[in-house]
Amino acid sequence: MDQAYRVLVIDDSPMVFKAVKRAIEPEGFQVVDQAFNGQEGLEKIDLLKPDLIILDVTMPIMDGIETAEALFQKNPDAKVIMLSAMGDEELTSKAKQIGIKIFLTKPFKPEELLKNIRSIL
Amino acid sequence: MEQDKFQFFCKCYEDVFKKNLAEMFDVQIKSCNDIRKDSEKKLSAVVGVVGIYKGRIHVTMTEDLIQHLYESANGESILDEMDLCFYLAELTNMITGSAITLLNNNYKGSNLRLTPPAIFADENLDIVTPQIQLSSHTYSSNYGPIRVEIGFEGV
Repeated sequence: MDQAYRVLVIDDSPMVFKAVKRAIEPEGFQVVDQAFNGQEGLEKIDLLKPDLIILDVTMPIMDGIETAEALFQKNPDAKVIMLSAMGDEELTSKAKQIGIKIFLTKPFKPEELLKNIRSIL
Repeated sequence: MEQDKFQFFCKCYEDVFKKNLAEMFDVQIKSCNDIRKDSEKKLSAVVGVVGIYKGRIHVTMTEDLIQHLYESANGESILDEMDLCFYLAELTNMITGSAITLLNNNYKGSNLRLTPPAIFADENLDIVTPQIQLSSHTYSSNYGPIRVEIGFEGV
């Protein structure tokens, strides 16, 4: 990879942020920042212009579904991987409906996350 | 929540809890007596469940156990108590999310969701949510005890 892809993590858990960093940075990706809710996430997307967003569902202030809806309205080509503790059919179908192409559940395996990141970028 | 759904959820929770601890951390747990009288310092995470039913899940572990789980998963130690809290919160969130997913898929239309976790730390803490009937489970492991309390309104 000549230039590292830049990844923003939107998740209220510092532990998920650390786990994502640990999983993907040794493979050449750059995790640029963490946002703790969707509202902060949208601001950081505007500021940092990441190549990929890893987005949680359950967060305070603005959840992941609302965040993705707002993001895709502004930028329909945004690359987003949804990473959630929940993965029921209703939620995954709602996510798909609004444009999420990859939905992973926690706990995630590093190799599974990497495989999906490579497939979306 | 109807009794059959409550029992289904409690069973799912126990199965998911045991499976995750065994697969992610190689920690086996078994039922044991109440741990509330132990003097060892413990941390509790509380996750809310909202939707057509409202509930709370409390998970309590010793600091040693949380430290061991983190080291098993990440190959390094947690340095401060705040990170121990964050890790317990994330574990509780993941396990509760998996159990809620099973309930939602089995009882269509339940559409239950989680709320972000809250953390409490004390030596001998009782967390009580009024109007909620609790089902309590206590487990032992090689690295310290675990207490899980599952409560929903109207059971």
